Amino acid sequence: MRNTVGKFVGVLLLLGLIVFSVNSYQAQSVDGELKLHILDIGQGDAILIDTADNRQVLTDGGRGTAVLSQLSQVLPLSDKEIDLVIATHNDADHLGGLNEVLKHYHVREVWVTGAIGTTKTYQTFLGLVEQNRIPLKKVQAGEVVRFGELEGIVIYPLRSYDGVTPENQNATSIVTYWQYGKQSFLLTGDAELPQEQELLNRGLLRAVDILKVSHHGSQTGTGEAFLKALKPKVAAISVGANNSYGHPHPSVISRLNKLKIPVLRTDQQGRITFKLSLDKFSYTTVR
Amino acid sequence: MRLWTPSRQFILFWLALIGGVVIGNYWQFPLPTLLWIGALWLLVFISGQVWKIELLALSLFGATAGVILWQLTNGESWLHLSWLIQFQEILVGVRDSIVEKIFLALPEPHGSLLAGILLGNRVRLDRDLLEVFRLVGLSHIIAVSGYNLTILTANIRSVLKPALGRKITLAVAAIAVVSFVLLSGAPPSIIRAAVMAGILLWGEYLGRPQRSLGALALAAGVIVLFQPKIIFDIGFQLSIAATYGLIRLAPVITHTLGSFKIPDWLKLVLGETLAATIMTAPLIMAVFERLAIVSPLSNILVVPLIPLLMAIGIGSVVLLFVFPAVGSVVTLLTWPILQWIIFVGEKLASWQFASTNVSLPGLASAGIMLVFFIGAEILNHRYQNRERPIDA
Repeated sequence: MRNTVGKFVGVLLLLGLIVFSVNSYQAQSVDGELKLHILDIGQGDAILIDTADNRQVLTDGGRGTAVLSQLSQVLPLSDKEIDLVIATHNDADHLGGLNEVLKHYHVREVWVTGAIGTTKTYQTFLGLVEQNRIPLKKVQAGEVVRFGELEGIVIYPLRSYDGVTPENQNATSIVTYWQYGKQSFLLTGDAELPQEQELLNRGLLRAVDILKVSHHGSQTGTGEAFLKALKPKVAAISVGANNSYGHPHPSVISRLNKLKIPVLRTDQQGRITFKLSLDKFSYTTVR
Repeated sequence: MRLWTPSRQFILFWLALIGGVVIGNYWQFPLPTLLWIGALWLLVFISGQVWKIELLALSLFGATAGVILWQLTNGESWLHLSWLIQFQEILVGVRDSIVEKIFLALPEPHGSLLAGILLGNRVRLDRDLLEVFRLVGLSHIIAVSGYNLTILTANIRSVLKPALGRKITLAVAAIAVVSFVLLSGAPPSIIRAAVMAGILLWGEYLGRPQRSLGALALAAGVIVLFQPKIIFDIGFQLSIAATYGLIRLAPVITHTLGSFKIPDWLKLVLGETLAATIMTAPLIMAVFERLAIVSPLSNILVVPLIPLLMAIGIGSVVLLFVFPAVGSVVTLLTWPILQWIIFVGEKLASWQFASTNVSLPGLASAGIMLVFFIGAEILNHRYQNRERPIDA
């Protein structure tokens, strides 16, 4: 009997050792390095910012549970906390996976526009936020968040959509601009040409290093003027292989090519991870 | 020795009843005629005749009763335990909050795998992973079919028994079965599986595992009695076949492995897995049109770890409620085991010969099943009448 108990304790210690080593291996990070993951979740958007001091911002969650296994691959075992979740708009290929994230992670804060969705996914989302008592902030342009050296600012929507049921959900997409030292990146949700024009008109755009291309490379967005204002050094498209929408649209690709902006695509390269230090960035891809 | 002992007659009666239910599904008879035939053969049976007549009377009575049962119920379940539903709602609530806690403590797909192993198939598991498990013959570890609870109980028994002794092991297994039924929300498939698992435990408790064949017939008969349609349900058929394999074939295989120098618990796991796999194979081939060839290998690599996983899993669930902080650390201890299971599944599934697509016509499948049953019976008979070494 004592022998059995001894063995059991031994096994537990061994398991503990394995977990500890795997976790420390996953948690090791280069000093001052921030990671921007364009997660490979099929057709949809799910973008994770993982700061040097282990704070996380997740922008959208794709559709279904794919985001969970992607998160497990980029976060250490024991990290089940996400500091901020931004739901850019209410479409299921952005919001659906967030419902899974809310079930599987302790989320500290959620940002939405307050625009009302008509889907069951949206209802579930609100239910989960309330059930888990997560602070919900309805944001518009000007909202700022800081995690150490990382600073994020909402630049769209320019007005409050709180309580509004929009005809086109994409038109309410939260667009965020992020600055880390000298590096910067822009996350555009599914913003379309009229929203780009509004931003241009207001003079709210400045050059960025990395652009998350809007609406999976649909022709409804990413106009030439917009690209010229942003001058991105690299553009990333989050898109599912052989999707029924025909994303990304050839015209968007040729526009990017014409301006000699290198394109990375999750359907071809898998998960794209940008590593940003205060003065330079690099990227790797994992299929 | 009398060939047709009362216990064998008992089995015969239930088999005849089940046969009658099948006949009832295909042919209609006028009810008065059926009642008359049934009563007649019952009279013949109890009046005491030569044994051949007696057996004929018993089978015909059973079969007629089966046909009548089908015609009266139309195959539908007629015992409605509606009062159970309210109770069930509370249990579903408990289960959901356990699942929530597990999800928050483990990454995916590990969390849903653990929840699936502990609580059954209502927990949604990643579809790709489910497909992987199906390919390598591991899906029984998550309660997709009743097969899982049966083999799981048997394995718990085999692994714990040398350490804890017969009575404690049986108690642990029985508690495991009951809590599993309660927490899974007690859907019919799990209740059915629990009845099957209960039979094995009962046989073991009596110290006469061989006797459980009668209990198996009884359980199958009782379930069919209340829900005749179920005999056409593949899950039901699989759990009967698997349980039968565990009762009659597993001891033979385990004994045959005796000459190999491998640990006893491994022999038991191997015997149980092979027996269940063999007995269910023709059915699986006919219905799912494929057979997991690597199943014995994947089971040897995974199944011995399941009791340990369940022990840590159950412990950590309790801790998650009592001391959440400690609980979430302890829950992480299951990660290496879960990762191993996922690794084995994915690795073996990537092999080309992991499973083959074979289809078998229904009749051929039935024929092979019959041959397997007869074969198992012959082997079992020889095993029981083997010459035993005499310890002087």
